[in-house]
Amino acid sequence: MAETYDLIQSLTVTGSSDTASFTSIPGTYTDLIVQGNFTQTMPSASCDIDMRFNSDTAGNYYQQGAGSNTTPLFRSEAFNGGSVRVMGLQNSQTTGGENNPNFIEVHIAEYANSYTKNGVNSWAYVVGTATANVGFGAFQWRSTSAITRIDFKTTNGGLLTGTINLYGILAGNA
Amino acid sequence: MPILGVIDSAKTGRLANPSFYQIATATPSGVTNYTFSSIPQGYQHLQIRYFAKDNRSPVYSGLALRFNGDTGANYWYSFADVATTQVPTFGNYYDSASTDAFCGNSPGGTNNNYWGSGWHTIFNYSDTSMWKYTGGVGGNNGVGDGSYGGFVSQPGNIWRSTAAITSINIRSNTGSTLTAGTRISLYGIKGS
Repeated sequence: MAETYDLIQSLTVTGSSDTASFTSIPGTYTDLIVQGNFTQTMPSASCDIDMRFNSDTAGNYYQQGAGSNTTPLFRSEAFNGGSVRVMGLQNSQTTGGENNPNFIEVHIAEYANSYTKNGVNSWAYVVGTATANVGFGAFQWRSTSAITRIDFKTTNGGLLTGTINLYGILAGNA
Repeated sequence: MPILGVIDSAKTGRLANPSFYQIATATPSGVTNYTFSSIPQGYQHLQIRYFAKDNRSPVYSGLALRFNGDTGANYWYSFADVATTQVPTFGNYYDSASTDAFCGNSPGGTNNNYWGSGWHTIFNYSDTSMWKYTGGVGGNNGVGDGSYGGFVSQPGNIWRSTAAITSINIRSNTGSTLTAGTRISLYGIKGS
């Protein structure tokens, strides 16, 4: 049986930047998976995590997400803009401190094919002892380009600390 | 399965103890369903990963599952979903006597700009002491006429059978025809 689920790149971020980037992603896999475990230092204002492909900042991203939060208990957001919101929903908040790690998982299907790029994401975080948020979403990048770069960036300057891993999965037969 | 926060995460390449294995990949086109048969035993779990759409008039559609050819009302699904154009936006669907399990969303229509994708895990598929539990996430943005609209769900299912799963039929849940470009892959996940 052929093994797959290879670690392509691992990023260790140390609180010196609001951005973590996977570059020179090979086009040799079928799907990509990103798993992140990190904190970010946003002292007071809300802060989410955006994902962009190939440095595209134009309004080519579409997303439908759903999540739970403290207030309101359920939240949904349809989003079209210059990024995919992979942590939290538009206008919701992430104010994780050092004791409040955030988890994200992103699945990108057929990232190197000639169709538009589609995927699903999920996240979870806890803030202090009273606020938690979990959610999931589906996103689309309306580009037919192969994805060769993925950037994760806080929405208003929080600095990232932790590990974000990029994996490749190859479709095939045993 | 890779573990978050692995200590030696600076390494690249395959991890020391790989546990994710290719079993089969299908590219069904012009048919409403596809069956993975003679599924090998010996893994802990199975996972389906899909990139799909069907030719239903451009509206939301989806993928469903049947195990071991069982067409009886032996499936119990529940899923939360959220959709841009659904009223209310949140939905909660439940059927304790369904004839198939829900795998995830995919769009309808022939426009190749709009696809659905997702993953779905089938837990303990070989264990003959328990019913079978499955779950995952799937969704899409935009349907085949180019209209804006997202749809994402997180389904969970029970198949009320203790039989080991040896075949999986994956199908358009509206009976529509899967279109060219659809890709469905089956993987095995080994336990410790």
